Amino acid sequence: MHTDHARSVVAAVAAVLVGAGVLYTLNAASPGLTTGVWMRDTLALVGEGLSQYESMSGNWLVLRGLLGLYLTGLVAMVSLLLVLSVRTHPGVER
Amino acid sequence: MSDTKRETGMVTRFSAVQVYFHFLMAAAILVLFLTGIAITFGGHVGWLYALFGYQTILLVHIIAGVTLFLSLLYYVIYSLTGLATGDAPTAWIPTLDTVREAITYAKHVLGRGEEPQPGKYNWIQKAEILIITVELTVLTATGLLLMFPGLLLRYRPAFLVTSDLHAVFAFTLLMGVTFHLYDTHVLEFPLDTSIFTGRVSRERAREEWGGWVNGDEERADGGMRTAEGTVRSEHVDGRSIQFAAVGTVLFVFLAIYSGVMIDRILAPIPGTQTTLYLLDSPTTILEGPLGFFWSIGFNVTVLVIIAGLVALLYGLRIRLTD
Repeated sequence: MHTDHARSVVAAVAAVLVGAGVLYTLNAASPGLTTGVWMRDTLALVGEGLSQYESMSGNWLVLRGLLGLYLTGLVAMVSLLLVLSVRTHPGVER
Repeated sequence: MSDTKRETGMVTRFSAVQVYFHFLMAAAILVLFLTGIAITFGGHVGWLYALFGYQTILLVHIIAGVTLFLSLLYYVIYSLTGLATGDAPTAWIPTLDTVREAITYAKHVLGRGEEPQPGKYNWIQKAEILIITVELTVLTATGLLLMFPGLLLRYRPAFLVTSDLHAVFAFTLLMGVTFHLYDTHVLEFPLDTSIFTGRVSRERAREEWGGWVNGDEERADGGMRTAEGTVRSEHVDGRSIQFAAVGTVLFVFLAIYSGVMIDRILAPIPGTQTTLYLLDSPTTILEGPLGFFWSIGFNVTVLVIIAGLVALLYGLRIRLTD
């Protein structure tokens, strides 16, 4: 039990230190939180330099295709398991 | 139709650390879903803005994100310290036996064999934990970057790519969590309390994880005998509840899947007309004449998330009064 408590304390202290370090580093690189920025207005915010998007639109399409496949595959599999559960579980457990 | 099962004892399935980590992680994730759905599909859940306002929703999203980040860091480090004490949680890691178990399960469902006898976690639970681990890693990394937009605005396409990744993984996780809620609330109506009390009945453990309790319990990754006692549970044929729940979950899946496909996957790349499909303006579909479908779908999803939060608080109460 003492070992478990010691592990918890070490993990909690280390998590706070590592977390604070990551947040401090990111904030130092780019001060200010994202509050106040509408995600949908991001394009307006970064509206300049459209060539940047054009230059990587091919890679972006590949990425979106992969994300779409991942999303579709996972939804299909979970839906199948859900429907199968009707067969494998005879009813609701109370 | 009902039958009564008598159990002669309980086994410990989750440690106190796992119980409280699950609570904190689940609470943070559900709050992130609630605020995230408002940030991404705000037009369909306008009442959330009316109640809290956009600034508050975004701030709560960030606070919940940092809470999740710290919780994950804590559990990863806690697990790693287990390597030194020989108590690292490893039962969830999929192996070749897990693949064999999945194949046996598929044969069983098709009526061509016996049901497999899984260890502490069955193949679906292992897959669930693995997928959640991968998705949370991506979501935490992209979320941290999106918190500080100035960094990514220097590399503008990266900001939007990160935003795409974050949204798609988040909504995939939301569907996984909806399935998880069905599994723990409907099939174990009204709530599977094992993740809160840390214990399951020996009877249930034998039925569901035969390879775990039928073996040497003391060495099976936390499985050990605890207080003896008699616990009663009733198995009630609640087919109508189950069918209604399956229908609701599939409806939520359809709304989220189609919404994300239209809003993110098939949407044109900003600043270009390049798209996987000829979809000029996604918002005209999501907020057009058919928009009521997504309005109903996303509001049902919000209700599911709120139900999850209520169940979580109820579970905590059980733990604290146990």
